[in-house]
Amino acid sequence: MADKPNDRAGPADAGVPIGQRLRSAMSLLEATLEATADALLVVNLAGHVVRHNAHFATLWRIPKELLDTGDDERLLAFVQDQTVDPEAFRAGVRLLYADPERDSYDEIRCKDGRILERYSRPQRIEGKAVGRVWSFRDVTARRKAEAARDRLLESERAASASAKVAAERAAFLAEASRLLASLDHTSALESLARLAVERFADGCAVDLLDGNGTVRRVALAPPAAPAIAPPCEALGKGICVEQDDRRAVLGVPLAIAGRVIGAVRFTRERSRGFAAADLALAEDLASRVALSGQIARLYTQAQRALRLREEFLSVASHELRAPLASLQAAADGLLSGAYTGGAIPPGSPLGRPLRAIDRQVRRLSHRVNDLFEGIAVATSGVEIRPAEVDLSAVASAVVARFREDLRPGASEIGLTTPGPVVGRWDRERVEQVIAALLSNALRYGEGKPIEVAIAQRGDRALLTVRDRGAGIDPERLPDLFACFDRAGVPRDHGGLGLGLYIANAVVTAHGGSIRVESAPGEGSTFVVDLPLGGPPETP
Amino acid sequence: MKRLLLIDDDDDFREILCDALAFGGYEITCAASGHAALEWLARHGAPDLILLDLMMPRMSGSEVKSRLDADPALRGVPVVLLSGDTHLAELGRAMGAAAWISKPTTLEKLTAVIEHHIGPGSARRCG
Repeated sequence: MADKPNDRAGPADAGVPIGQRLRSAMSLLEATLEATADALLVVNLAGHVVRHNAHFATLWRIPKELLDTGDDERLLAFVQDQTVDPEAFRAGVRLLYADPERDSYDEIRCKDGRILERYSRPQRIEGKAVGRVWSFRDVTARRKAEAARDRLLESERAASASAKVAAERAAFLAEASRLLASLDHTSALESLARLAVERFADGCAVDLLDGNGTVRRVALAPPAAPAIAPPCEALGKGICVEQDDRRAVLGVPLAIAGRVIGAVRFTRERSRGFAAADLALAEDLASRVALSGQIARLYTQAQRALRLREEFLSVASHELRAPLASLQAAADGLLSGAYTGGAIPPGSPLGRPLRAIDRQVRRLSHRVNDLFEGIAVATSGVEIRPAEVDLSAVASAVVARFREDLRPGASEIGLTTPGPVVGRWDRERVEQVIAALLSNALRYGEGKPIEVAIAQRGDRALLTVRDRGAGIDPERLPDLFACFDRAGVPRDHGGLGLGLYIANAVVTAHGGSIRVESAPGEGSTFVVDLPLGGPPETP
Repeated sequence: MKRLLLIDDDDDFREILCDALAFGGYEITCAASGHAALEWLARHGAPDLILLDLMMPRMSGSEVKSRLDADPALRGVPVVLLSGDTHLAELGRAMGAAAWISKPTTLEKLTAVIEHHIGPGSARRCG
């Protein structure tokens, strides 16, 4: 059986003469020494140079003449002079020469900025140290890259920490603003002080200046915190930081338009203190506190003014209507014969003055009603109580009432209806709208006929009131439904200018609209468009 | 004869209405204040309908209405508010009034409301 090459027990060069094998091994060693990227140096136990590769001379910039001398001491001196710490370099070498079995690794910093890794391990023959191999590697580029990476990481960490702090501050301010949005300013300040203690400082106090200049503490957190003194040092002096042996106190004035109205103070342990960013945050917070205080104050004043107005209107309404009520009832009773058992006869000399009193009282009553109704609409809107209503029937009733009261020479009122037009509306409010439009038409109709028409178009009802009077200047049309607008008509036409305003509000509250077509000298046509379904559902 | 109680602090209004409604056949009693009205009610018992002003000194109309509601003998009497208050309808609903009439008003309207609740008067003057 023939031997296979792989089955041979001996080395591949078994049988090669030993001299040749030695030369081959030496050649391999030489090639390896020169091929490696590291600088290599081999010394014997006495420290004398045995071998080095070419890269060793290059790395340490050793002149050939010096190498050729084989003077170990000069070589070591030449090398160590290039290092930042020559003594440490030499001490390391001595230590290893004294302990031949020892391995080592360290880094050497050179004066020219290079960083070299230095490895050293014993050279052994049959387990016994006979010398030492030194290996040097230039890691300057790698170390610089690592340092750059570390710097980058550090700056990222710093940016991240800074972003986190900024986010926490923004969240703190946002939460503070949310608390300060409450119109109960005292409760808001108490909540704010607690929030500040959770997120910003160890203690927080808010002081406000009363009208007479006395300082009133409105919030303190935590409640059992020691008094934050000195009181109101910050007032009028701008932001300030004071310290005692325990605490740092940051005081910020609360100011509106340059007028100091109080101060907010924060405390921290002295060791923690307040940084510039804390001061900026405190100032931001103080400006929000001051602004919210101003808003709350204005709100309270506005509420008080509204309450006073309501009270005044209520009293004024009563005081104006009570005497009118007596006058109206008396005139009414006299004319209807409620006290005499029969109406005033046509030729009675009392008839004209009594009817004049009755008319004027009614007129005054309408003005007073319009005035308070207009104010109510402007302040509270229109309340609608819809029910099934026939618009034609309502229009007929209102027109009939107006016809009864027409004076000689006044416009005649015509009415056209298609039969019942039924929708869900507030009957009294619809009457109010028709009456307002008819009053308006009578006032400006110059005695010419007035036409009222009802129509149904799909799911909508149309009410048209047309007069042939003075008409309206086109420039005034946009303001026609505004409060107190009388469309530029002379004062002797009377009226407060509230009828159309109220009518428009009522129609709008029903989900409808009023439009007007008019030209000076040609009269005006008002068209009310109402949805049959009534006012839109409110959520 | 159907009995009415008018409670109003305005002397003229009270007298004019009293005369007109008496002429319309109702037995009407006029009270110038809430206290006077309650005293009369304590002595004479429930009328068929009460006409009540709201804004009166010392005892307001709403307080009078609360007292009426608290009395089992009186809480069923229809109360018609007569007032110039700007929020009359709102108050009327809140107080549970039978009706409300804004001052000033006409005798015709007032009579219609009264008749709606208790029927027409007997067209006899009260004494």
